[in-house]
Amino acid sequence: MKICIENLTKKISKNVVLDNINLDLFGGNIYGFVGRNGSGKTMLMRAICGLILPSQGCVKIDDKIIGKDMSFPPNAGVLIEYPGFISSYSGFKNLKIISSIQKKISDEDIRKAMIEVGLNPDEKKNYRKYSLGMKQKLGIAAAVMENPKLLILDEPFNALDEESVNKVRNIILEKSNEDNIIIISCHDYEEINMLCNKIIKLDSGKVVNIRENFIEV
Amino acid sequence: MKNGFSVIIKRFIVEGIIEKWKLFLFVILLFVSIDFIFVKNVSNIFNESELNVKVGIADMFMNLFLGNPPFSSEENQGINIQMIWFVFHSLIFSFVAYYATNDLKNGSYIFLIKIKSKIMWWLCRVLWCAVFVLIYYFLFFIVSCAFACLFGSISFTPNQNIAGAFWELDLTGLSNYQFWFSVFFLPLIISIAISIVEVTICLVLKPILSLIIVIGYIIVSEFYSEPYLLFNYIMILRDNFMGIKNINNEAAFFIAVSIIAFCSIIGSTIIKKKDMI
Repeated sequence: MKICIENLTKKISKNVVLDNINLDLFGGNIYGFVGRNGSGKTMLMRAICGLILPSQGCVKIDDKIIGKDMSFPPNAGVLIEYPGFISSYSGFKNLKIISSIQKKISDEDIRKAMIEVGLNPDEKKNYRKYSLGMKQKLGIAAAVMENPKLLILDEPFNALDEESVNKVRNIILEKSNEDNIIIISCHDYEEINMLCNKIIKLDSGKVVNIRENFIEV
Repeated sequence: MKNGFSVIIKRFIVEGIIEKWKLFLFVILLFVSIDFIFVKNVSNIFNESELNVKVGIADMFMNLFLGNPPFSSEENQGINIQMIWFVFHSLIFSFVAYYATNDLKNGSYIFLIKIKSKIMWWLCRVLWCAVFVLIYYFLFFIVSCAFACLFGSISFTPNQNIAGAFWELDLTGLSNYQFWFSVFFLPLIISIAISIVEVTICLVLKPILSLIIVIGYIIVSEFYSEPYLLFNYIMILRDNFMGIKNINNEAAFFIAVSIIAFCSIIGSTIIKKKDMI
């Protein structure tokens, strides 16, 4: 998989939120987006997912332009802010309804994904009664359960306890292979350094620094 | 594709209708009030009459969709807006505006990315509007049936005595088809059409502005009797079961269906260029 971001600019209500971004992302890498609040990390992730369309430039995934050749990436798992699950359904039921769209995975796979993030698939509690941490874990489970080729996680460690952080870290490392692109954003530089082999720093909607991060195995 | 469609429409129905049961409870209470007051008024008027007049389902619909005569500056009178008619329709469009794009702000991207189609989201939204309005009208029908069972008669034919005493209407020669077409099917399809117009406007403007535009359109319809003001066709005192200014009710039905088709297509074009946040 290859993502090419060419001259990407996005304006919202006359504010430039992404400013002439040029990036190439390749399979087999875990990319870390870093930067202060409002630097454009989430907006860039949205642009890659197709949730926002560029004012100028384009995002190509395997030479197909988002917003022109396709509306959304073909095989993506995404967590950006809190996902809109159905509040009167349990966690398992929510994941089941999502998985029923593409029918790639079984109930067992859903259960496995929930257990991996530290949720109980037999929990009958409705999503509206979930804590912030549980909501975050369910969002991660939804993003990873179908083994997507493009995995985008915006601040995945928010609201998670230490044990859950370890679990999510292991999931991210397990999901990484030579075909997949994983993009995460995080304010914890220690996590970014542990997980990502390429770190992209954004500021005021621009890419200001890209560096290789050699992770010790 | 079929799976995606059924999942999205299921989500809209669960979130936009089933989880909003408290709003529907409020609506039911409103309908109970409307029908109760009407039944009581009929009872008061005919209490001492020799005529055994009982309110039927048809009469309750007539009471709701009566409307008011158009405004005339020559008559030196104000305009009497039929409040139950106004509230009945305003509520529909308030509910629709609230949920029109609410799910996009609340993280429905997770479904969008799986179905991979903005147009499918839009068409599901159009279908949801139709289902919502249908359920709203059906609730009024159910409440009216309940009142008819308890206090009146289960009659689908309007009562001439009531129509004459309350509204000076002459129903001679009016067929049941004409009646029910004018007080149920036509208002239903026009409400669906306008709700879809409202949701289409929500794609480019904030929902509150869309609601203001629709409410403004309703208010202008209260003042003027013109065929392009579709709410005129939902007022019996205006269309008299026939039509407005040479455009009959059947034609209005097809105009409403055309509006639905037109907005569905326009919305599909707009949604492709819209940011889904």
